[in-house]
Amino acid sequence: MKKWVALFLAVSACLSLFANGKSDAPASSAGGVTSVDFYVWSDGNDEYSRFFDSFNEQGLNVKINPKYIVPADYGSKLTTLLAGGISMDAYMQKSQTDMFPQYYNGYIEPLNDLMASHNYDYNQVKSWDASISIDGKVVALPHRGGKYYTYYNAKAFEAKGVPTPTELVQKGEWTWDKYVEISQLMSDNDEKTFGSCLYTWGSCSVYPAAQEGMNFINADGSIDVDNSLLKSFQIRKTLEDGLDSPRLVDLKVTKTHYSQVFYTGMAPMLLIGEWFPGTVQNGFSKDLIKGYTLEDFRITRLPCDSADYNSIGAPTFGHVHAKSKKKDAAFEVLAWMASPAGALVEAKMGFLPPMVDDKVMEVLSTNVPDKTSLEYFTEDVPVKPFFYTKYGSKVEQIISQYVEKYLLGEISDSELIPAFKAEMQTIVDTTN
Amino acid sequence: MNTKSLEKTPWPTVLSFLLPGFTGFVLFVFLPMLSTFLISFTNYSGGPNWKIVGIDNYLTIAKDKHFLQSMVVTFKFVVIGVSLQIIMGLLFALILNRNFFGQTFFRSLFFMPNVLSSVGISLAFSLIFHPTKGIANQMLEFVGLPDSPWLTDPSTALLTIIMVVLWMSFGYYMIIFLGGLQSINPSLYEAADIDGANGVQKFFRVTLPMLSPTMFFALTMCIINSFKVFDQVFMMTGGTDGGGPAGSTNVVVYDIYQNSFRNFRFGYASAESLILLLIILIITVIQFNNQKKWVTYDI
Repeated sequence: MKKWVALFLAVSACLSLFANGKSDAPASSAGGVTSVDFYVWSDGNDEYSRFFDSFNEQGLNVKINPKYIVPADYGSKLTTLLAGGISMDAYMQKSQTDMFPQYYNGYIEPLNDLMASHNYDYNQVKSWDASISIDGKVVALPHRGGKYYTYYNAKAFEAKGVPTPTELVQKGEWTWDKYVEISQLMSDNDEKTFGSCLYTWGSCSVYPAAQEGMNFINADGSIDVDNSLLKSFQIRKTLEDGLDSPRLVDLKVTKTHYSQVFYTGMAPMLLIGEWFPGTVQNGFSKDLIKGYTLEDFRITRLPCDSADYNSIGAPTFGHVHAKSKKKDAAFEVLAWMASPAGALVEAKMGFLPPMVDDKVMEVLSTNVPDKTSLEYFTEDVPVKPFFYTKYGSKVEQIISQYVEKYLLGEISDSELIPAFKAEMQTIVDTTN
Repeated sequence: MNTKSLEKTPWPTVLSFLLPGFTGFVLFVFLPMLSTFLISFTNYSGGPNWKIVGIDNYLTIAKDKHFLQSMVVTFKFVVIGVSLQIIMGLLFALILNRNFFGQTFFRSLFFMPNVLSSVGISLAFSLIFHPTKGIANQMLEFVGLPDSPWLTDPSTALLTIIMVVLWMSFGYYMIIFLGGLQSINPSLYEAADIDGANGVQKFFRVTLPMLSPTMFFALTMCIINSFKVFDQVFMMTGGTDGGGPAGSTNVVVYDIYQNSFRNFRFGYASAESLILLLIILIITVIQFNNQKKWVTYDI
């Protein structure tokens, strides 16, 4: 009997290993066309599917085989797929700071050699170098720019007779204090119509701090936290307490998207990233926006306390998977996305491409008809990325926790900075 | 097949029937458990650059205030959640054990939430508990009571989730208790009647003791399931945006999720999982050891 039991265990172990094994199938190509497995967050009928379709419609010898993952699950599923060693050629980065742990874990292919062998003109996107390089190596190519703006509905401002953010920018008065003041003037204080909206992401609660260059944790592990963090939290608390902005916890628990807040007129002013004109275009095309037109949609700078304006943000980009067997083909896709041809497609969809030329401006003007808005949307200003180090994802998580504590009165002004610094130190101590 | 033919069945045949199930067990239970155990002693973050760190992860956990806070939240959830699920399950089992018109319908009705998707239910309850448009607050308003913040306040968020889990799960325990109630020998009630016992006395002296094996099973399962709660917390209080509000619903499994999939700390998260396993194991062992004092199997 013993030998049968031993055989049984051996067979079950072999079956388990067989089921656990991975396929090392060679790169597939049919009729000279190489298919690239490209992972992205999408429902299969949005800007990314259109972007991919545009690439495939060119009839090149490389085709994108889209692998769509629903946006809400993308982060955790991508982590699982990468750690599980799935066969993948390229993927989009949804949370930019995740590129650091992914790169150090060997998932991302450095692109320097591929750029050289494909004669890619890096100067096209070199202005984003700090956001797409790690340790001197280019690890991504951007298909969108990365800047935050003030978006507002001019019709709502006109109705209330309140000066618009654009007017205040032009007078040099669009500061964070003024932002609070204008939000208060625009609010109906009835918990239905607010003055402005700051979204639920941790980054959205620290705009002023990020704009002032606070890095939370520097690349060398030193802590960089000062009172601008407190100021950022205070701005949000003032607005929430005065019913001038939707409460963070309400937005989070009710899963209310910032676009919904803007579409419905719940808040006529929103501070968010460069993709929002594309979102608005989508809103108009799906008839989700009522009561105002595209002509009422305006864009201007973020509030800023410094005389030298700078925006915040990082571009949206894709990576070549380090274990891909079709790196050249995957790179060709990324290179097209980060080229003038890709930029035109992005612009058509209302997004800010990583490079802006006359053709792009012409296309963008159909989505941003207001000339002044278009000028602010495409102006060349310095951009500071949010907590852009290998600690970034963890920092954002702590910001999310602490801003909630602060807004709910569970932590005082005097306790905030020391407690936050201690959290940052813990992150440094526990990050590989 | 009778016992004799079973005894005559050759071992290869028996083992070949066991093989598919055993392979599944090895693949989906044993190997993941083993790898979790091994990874917990490393700083594995998903890539090839990892090293063995001994018990460092466990030492860090002992000092990690987020983990300790999540443990407090989990224990609150278990104590309140288990008590309510067992009491409600028993109460409804007692009611539905009586013969009345529609008895089967109501049994099915109360059990039904248990077979529904927890994600779908969580989404539905997110709408019900919407702070301004939710039907829960509209009902409170209708009866003249003030609005409740439900999921948006640290003092009520966990209780709200417990209510949802209670709604989902008590039907399962109700069915278990119904099975237990129906297996109680009626002669015991007849004897109690002859002795002049009233309803309350019969419940405490006959029903509860006779139900104790079922109660023991239900309690064990309920405690284990409550320690593993995740879906409702994830779906109803913020998902990948960090749980909340202010960490008030961050249970241990949620902390494990955050550390694995947001922080790339697979080694650390594995150590947290093992600590959770150990806690569940200790509680279950204590329950098993103490069952002799209150569980009756002899009638």
